[in-house]
Amino acid sequence: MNLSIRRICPGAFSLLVSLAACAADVPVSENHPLDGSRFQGQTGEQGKGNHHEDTITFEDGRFRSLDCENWGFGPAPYSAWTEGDAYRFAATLHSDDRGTLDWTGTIRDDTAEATFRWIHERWYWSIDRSYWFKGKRQ
Amino acid sequence: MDRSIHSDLAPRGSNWAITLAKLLAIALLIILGNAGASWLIDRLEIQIWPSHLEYLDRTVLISLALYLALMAVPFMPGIEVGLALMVTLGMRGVVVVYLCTLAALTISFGLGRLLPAHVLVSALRWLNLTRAAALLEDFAATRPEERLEFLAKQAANQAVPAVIKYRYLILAVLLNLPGNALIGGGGGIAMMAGMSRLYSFPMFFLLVSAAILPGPVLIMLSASVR
Repeated sequence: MNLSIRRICPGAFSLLVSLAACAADVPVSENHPLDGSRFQGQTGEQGKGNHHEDTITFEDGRFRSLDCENWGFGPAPYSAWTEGDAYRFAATLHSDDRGTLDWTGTIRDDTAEATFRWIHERWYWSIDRSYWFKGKRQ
Repeated sequence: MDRSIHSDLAPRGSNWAITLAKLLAIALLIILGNAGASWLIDRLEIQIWPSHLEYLDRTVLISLALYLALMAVPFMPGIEVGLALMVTLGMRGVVVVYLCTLAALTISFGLGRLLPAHVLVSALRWLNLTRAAALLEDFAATRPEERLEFLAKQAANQAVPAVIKYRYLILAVLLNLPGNALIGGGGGIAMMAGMSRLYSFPMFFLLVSAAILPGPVLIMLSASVR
């Protein structure tokens, strides 16, 4: 039945999906509500312990990871939305020679918890690794 | 010359115990090597970060060279390293590892062809398989075009002519057999195939190209499903 609705009226189906998504998550990226926030904490590879310290910042609608900047992943625009009593954010950082870092995270009170995925396509192998970050507001 | 293969391969009486003990010692070494390497990797809890990219590239190249060497040498856990490499390197790495496997097995086969029979005879004698060693000596002394006939004549067991007839199929099965490290692994099997002089190089190459496909194909399929 759902399939036939999608076939007959794809526009209406998309609208319904968008409305449902809006009801669940409220996009607030236009206001950049996280601007001015700065979190410092530990980061490591998924499933493993602390590796080193990192600081993430939100300024002028852009997200930065100070440690990732050392490897050429510069600041990038972020999107943010509320989810219950927390903010969710997402950003994709690019590097000229090391691929991309896809960050997604949650900020609740003074704590930021995020995961990020490093993807780097090579001719002979592809890197696809996941990491975590947990920090406190500074 | 009218000895049967079955009786030739069988060492007498208590020699079995020594042969078995030596084979078990080899199996134990392989298992301990594998377990030790896994334990070490877990303990080190190595983390890979973008800052390590240059080291990663070097490590990958060294690992591929190491894999090629391990795969080509009999009784080495090459296939485990190959699987780990395929999982680590992703889809594109699967193709590279496949090509390395093909190269390694071809090298093993070539070495087997070049290896003088007396080296294998010495190894069989070390394992107390004296009759098998004697058979191999006779086999090596036989002209290559008469070797199939020689083996068929030696066989009291009726299955042996069929084994010789379906040797390519059997080789493909052995290369994919789980736990084949105990009978020499991919490198050992390819080397034995070369030593036997029963396989032509072009046919061996074509067969191995197809026989080692299932592993990489399965990994690629499972990666595309995820």
